[in-house]
Amino acid sequence: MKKIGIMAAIIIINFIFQTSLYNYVNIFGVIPNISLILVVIFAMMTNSIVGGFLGILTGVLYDIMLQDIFGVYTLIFFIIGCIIGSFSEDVYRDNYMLYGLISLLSTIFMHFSLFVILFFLKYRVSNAYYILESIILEIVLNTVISIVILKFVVYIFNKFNLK
Amino acid sequence: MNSINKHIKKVLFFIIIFILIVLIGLTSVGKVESTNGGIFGNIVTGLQKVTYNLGQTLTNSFYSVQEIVKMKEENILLTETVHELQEQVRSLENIVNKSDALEAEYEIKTNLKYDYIIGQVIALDDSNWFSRFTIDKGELDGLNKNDIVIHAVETNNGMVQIGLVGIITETGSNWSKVITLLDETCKISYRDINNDESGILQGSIDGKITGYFFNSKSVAAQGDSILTSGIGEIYLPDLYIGKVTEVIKTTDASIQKIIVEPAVDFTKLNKVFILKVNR
Repeated sequence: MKKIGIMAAIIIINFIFQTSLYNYVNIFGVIPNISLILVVIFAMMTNSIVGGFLGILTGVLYDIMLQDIFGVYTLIFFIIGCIIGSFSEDVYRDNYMLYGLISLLSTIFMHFSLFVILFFLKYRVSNAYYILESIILEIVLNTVISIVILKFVVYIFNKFNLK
Repeated sequence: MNSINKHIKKVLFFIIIFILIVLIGLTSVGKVESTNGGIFGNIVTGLQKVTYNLGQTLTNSFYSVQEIVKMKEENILLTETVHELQEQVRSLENIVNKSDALEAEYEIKTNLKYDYIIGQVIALDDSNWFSRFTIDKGELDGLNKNDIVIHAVETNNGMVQIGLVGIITETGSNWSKVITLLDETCKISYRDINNDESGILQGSIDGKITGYFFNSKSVAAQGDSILTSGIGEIYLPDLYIGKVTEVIKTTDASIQKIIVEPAVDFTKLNKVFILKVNR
């Protein structure tokens, strides 16, 4: 329980940083999506229920604080958290490369689902072709940074004596 | 027991997805108002303000050291530009004064003063798909949905507008959400000053503003200035939007598409002015 509390706290603090502070440290105009990486890492460390819960928490923050349409981010983060959580119990959790790989897949999944959802919301998604470059850059950044974030999370959990 | 558990989880998974999809559908057509988070929203925005300012102070101090050398040259250049512009204004005023109708219009425009509130950007949506931000003023400061947000500078003679930024879509007690011109959902009726034709502008996912004219025969040129026309009664008339950078002939031969470069640099936005309009 304490573990979930700390995870939720990290997600909320990160959301505040993600939307304000990180904008100043962008790399080629792209900001790594650390909110997504955190959902991925926490879902990997726990199970589908906690993963889904943390996914919803992250998504609700985005939807309430920034978006007009409620549910887009909530849906995407929930699916990511749930699915990763459901198979994380069957994989070897100490493999850092695996976290990188799953961050990569999740970022692709997130952008793909945004594409699909926005298509149904009558956005002119064909223009997405022009932002492909920054999306690819974000995918690469997320993959690399996920390992750094993972080390940081493990460090914090050790400080709080959590497994 | 384990298999039943798994089954319940699966059902729950799909129920939540279903509920969320329904919510997306309902909020997108405005059937259900999206919440503003109440007290929680206030706390989060308060913290965002602190971290946003922190980031700004840090980057500013970093760049100010870098740019100290450049500043002197820039200062000279700017003084020269000011003299040039003053001369231009004098000659234009001279022309305006010669015509009564123009003078009357000039009087109206210079005396047109809106009440405004200065807000600060405290959070940005950093994803590539949307272009929106949050500001630190809300209902308590008298802001409403559909209030106009512009970029401007405060001088001794009052506020001087730089360009249109966007519109408020939702307000919390001390914060509000703004969508910018670059966002797909933002549509503005505009007027081209050079040929006095109007049309509709729309942002897009790739951050370009495109538009077309109501009158298919109108001809735009590169460098034309674009203002809001005020048609539709959401945007106030005569707010500066930007300049035409490209005129594209579409396959539909009668329609011209224009691409507009906004006057505001959205990546460096910090202080914004919200115009108070009595509707």
